[in-house]
Amino acid sequence: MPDLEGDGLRNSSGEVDDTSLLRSIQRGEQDAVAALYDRYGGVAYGLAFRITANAATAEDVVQDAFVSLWKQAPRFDPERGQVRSWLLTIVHHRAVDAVRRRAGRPERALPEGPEEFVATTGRPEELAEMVLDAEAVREAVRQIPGDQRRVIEMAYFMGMTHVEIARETGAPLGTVKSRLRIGLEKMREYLRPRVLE
Amino acid sequence: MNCAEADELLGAYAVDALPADEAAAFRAHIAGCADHASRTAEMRALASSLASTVDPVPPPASLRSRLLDAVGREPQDSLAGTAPPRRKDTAASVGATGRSPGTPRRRAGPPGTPWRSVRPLQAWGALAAAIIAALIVWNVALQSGDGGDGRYAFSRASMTVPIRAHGQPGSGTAFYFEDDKRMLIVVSDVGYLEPTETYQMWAIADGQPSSIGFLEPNANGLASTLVPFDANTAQTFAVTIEPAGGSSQPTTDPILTAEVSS
Repeated sequence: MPDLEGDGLRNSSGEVDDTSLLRSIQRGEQDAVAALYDRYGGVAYGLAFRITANAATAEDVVQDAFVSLWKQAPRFDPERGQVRSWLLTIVHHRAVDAVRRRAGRPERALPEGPEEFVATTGRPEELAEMVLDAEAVREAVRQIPGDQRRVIEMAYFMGMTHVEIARETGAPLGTVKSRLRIGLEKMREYLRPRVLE
Repeated sequence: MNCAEADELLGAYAVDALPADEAAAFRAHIAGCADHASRTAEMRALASSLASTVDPVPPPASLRSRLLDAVGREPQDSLAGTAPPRRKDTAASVGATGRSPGTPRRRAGPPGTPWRSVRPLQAWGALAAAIIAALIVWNVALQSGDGGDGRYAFSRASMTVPIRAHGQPGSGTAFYFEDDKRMLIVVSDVGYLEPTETYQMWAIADGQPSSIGFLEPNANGLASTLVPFDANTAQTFAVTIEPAGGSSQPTTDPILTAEVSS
């Protein structure tokens, strides 16, 4: 049994916080994985199912993601990145890979190891914090013009490359690239003042 | 890849929408560009936040026990990273050791493979690599950002040196461009890696390696990428197998090396 009752910091609901759970996992305490699963299994499965649209594949994705987190946890510094974000990044990566494999597409998603995650998303300051506020993110997505929102969703939730999106939408490749970038920039413009408030 | 091209691909990279070769070129760029590294971090954080817009769905009850059983069967990585065997490794070339955390792995190259000691490549290897390089030059031109003007044409290279494999398949050629301080890397017969591993490239100056990006071979084991490299300070190009996401310093012996001297 992990030492969740002893040294774990607790949030406002009295739960052991994610960092303490991760520390327990780093000590090899498998019960802490169970606790993390109980906390985020539904979010992870929801994301995997949204991307793969297949219950069995989504289960495999979630299982692989938690096993990957367990294996790589000793190399993750929870002070430099959020555990929840890292877990969902792994789920996203595995789900996109599953979709691409199913479609016979060779491209793999980006690496999701702790070092890559911390280097590219795990900064605790400013925008990385916004993952905690799902409603703000939903509103930010709603603010994006439809053509930009569509290409972002095709890439993130359908695992499509920019070339595939261009083919699917009939838009020039350069336009797809621009829409992806500008759409994310619009999200940033909406979220930044709210994150820093 | 220059900064203007990185700007163009920033959004696509953030949402995993780049094919492997373009993603590798992008990563090679941000390895040497602090501005784009920072902007990439911001864009990736934005993209990651999209996950939180999905409503939770209760997973099947059986998944919990199955998942925990799987966790119980898997050993954890050590602090310095321990990855599963490569799918295409030869038995002779893989010598995983029971090292203590922090001890470099010695599994990719033969024992004692020195960082800076490279024997000349056989002529046939260089020729084969050059032929392969010619076959994929159009792809290199696309990702290297020469706009099709042949800026990184092989004939304009200041120096051409063989890339030699150590202990496992693989060969290639490095084309060095002194004016731009960049090097075009073309390799073939590079094995497929598990998702938990990556090929990381290094410029080694006086024995001190610095990361210059990641090498991503396609399904046929071919890879080409343009990396920052200054032959006035660095003497060796090397590739090691590292945990996915890369390492700050090599944790294995090099599997590919090229000696470069201006």
